[in-house]
Amino acid sequence: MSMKNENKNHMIDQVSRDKLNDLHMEAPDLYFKKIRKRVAWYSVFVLGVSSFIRSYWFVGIATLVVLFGGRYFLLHNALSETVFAENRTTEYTNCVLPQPSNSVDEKSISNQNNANNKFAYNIPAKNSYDKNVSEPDNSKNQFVEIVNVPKDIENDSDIGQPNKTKVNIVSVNQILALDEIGAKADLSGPKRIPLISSFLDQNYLVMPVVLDELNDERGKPLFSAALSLGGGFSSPISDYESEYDLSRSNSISALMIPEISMRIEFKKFFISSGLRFLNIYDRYHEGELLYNEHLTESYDLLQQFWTVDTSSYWHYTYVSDSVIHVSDSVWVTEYDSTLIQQFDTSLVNAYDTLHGAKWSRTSTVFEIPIMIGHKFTFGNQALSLSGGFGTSLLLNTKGKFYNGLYATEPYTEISNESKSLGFTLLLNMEYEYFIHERMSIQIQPWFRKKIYETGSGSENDFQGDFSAGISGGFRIYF
Amino acid sequence: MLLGVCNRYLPSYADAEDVFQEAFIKIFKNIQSFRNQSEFSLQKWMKRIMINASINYLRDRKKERFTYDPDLTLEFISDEQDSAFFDELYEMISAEEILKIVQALPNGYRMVFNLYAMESCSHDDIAEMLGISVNTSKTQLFKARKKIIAAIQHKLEAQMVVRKIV
Repeated sequence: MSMKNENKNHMIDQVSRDKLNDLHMEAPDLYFKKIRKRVAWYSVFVLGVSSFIRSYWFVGIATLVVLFGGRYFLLHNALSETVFAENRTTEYTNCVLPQPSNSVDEKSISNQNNANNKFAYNIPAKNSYDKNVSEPDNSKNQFVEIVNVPKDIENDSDIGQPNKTKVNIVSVNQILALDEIGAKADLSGPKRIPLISSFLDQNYLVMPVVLDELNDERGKPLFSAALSLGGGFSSPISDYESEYDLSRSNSISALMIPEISMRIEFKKFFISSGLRFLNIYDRYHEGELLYNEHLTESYDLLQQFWTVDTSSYWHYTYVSDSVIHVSDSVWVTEYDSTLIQQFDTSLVNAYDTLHGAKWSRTSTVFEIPIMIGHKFTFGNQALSLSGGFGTSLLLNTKGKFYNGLYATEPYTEISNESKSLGFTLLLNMEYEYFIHERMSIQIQPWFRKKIYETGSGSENDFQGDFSAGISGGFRIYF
Repeated sequence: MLLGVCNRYLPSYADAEDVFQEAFIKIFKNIQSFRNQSEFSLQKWMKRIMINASINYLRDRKKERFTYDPDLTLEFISDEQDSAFFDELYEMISAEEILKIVQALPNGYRMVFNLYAMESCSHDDIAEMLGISVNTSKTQLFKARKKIIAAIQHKLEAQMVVRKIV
């Protein structure tokens, strides 16, 4: 190589170095917004909670709104129940009742002292209500009188009864008490609460006790199982980007999740796990699938060197200057000739010629969630907040392409059986309404965040970064 | 500056944006492994990550083709043109135009040119980094330079024509 060429090479390197080293490109705010969102989960550990909150503040706001909204709703319900129940109480208090049996006595009185015990409903109810030392606890809806009879009034003539017994503090198991009241006073009260029949009749008086009773049992773990079906939406799975991305971003990704789960409760806390199948439906514009980033490659074809120059979409090919150009024929550009003549410029309109082109894909994913949470009980309703991790396995993917011209018939179909593993962060909120002492119906908003996926960053992705939705079902306590 | 590095190595702004974000996340995750040794070491470290991320991105997408272009010859620019050509270069061509020319290079040309001319890597280093032979590295650099010169020359000529018309 001659000195001149060496010098030439040196100069072009120098020009590029001088020009490009000083090139300052301001990254748009949007770049950093995306980065902040993606690193927010790590930043909790590195930069503290504040960094996380900056990116996911809306999750906190949504949770607070739901919590306060739920609390208001529950309080409102409790007040309505109080009014209703007071009316019902009056009906019962007009009955004069005989002595309770010993079987009731054994179960219904805490701090048992048989020599000193006396049942609240053994006292004429109206009087006991008037003279009652302890007020009914509205928060727990205990509308049957719970009487605290101090020693100084135990001989009161109003209470005078043959074989009367004495009590200091009496708490009554209201289910059994009401059963007894119903049986003895012929109020046709059921011994136990039927599943749904006559639920409306019994609910206001009896249901609040159910959770209290369950709470009493929580000295030992409480097991429950739930069956639910849910649906939701996910952020787009595809990470294809094109120059016409905005015009073509009609992607949608929906999920349907049947789930069976088991829960073990230790007082207010619980651990849950289960099995869920995620059916993920994706629908993308064909352009996103066919899009090819600009690429120049050389081939030895017909004993000649050819350069293949691709741009955008594999729709149209032409050969010029020893270069095979593969171009986008989907997008049509129009030039305004008037403007070109008058102002030496051009106005370009681009539009898509294939309106119905789409790519639909269904992925079946098997997931095992493991979560811990806290349960809040409000009368016959409960609210649980839980979080945890899920391990998911992609079982298969099936897809169809529609070319837009014959929209009803798929142009081609794909089926992929390759397995892929993923890990997700899960956040759940579960609202339960007890329709029976051992059974509740539930509504469960949920949020999923993909943490890791094998083959992530390529076309093998089977779930979006985020997904959220709602499930409904029922839960049975054992 | 870091976004500029990505843009130099990648063929489009969209690619550069992807890699820039990925690289920034890598920086964030690995910031604890950074050892501050001198005033500019953080900048160099971040730039190194951007470069590696760009190269990995191209490698993962299997797009680094080290092309052979028989049209290019050593005497693409005549000796008579040299002095005038380079004298006007600094004045007439902007950084953005140079960037566009570099971006339009085939991936193999672009990577080798950037590593050699911009990062001052030796051919041995480049060969090791990209998993190619030293000769391939030299050839790719040679052709990258020729393409850049041809593109610049084309631009300058177009500007001359415009000046004459005006």
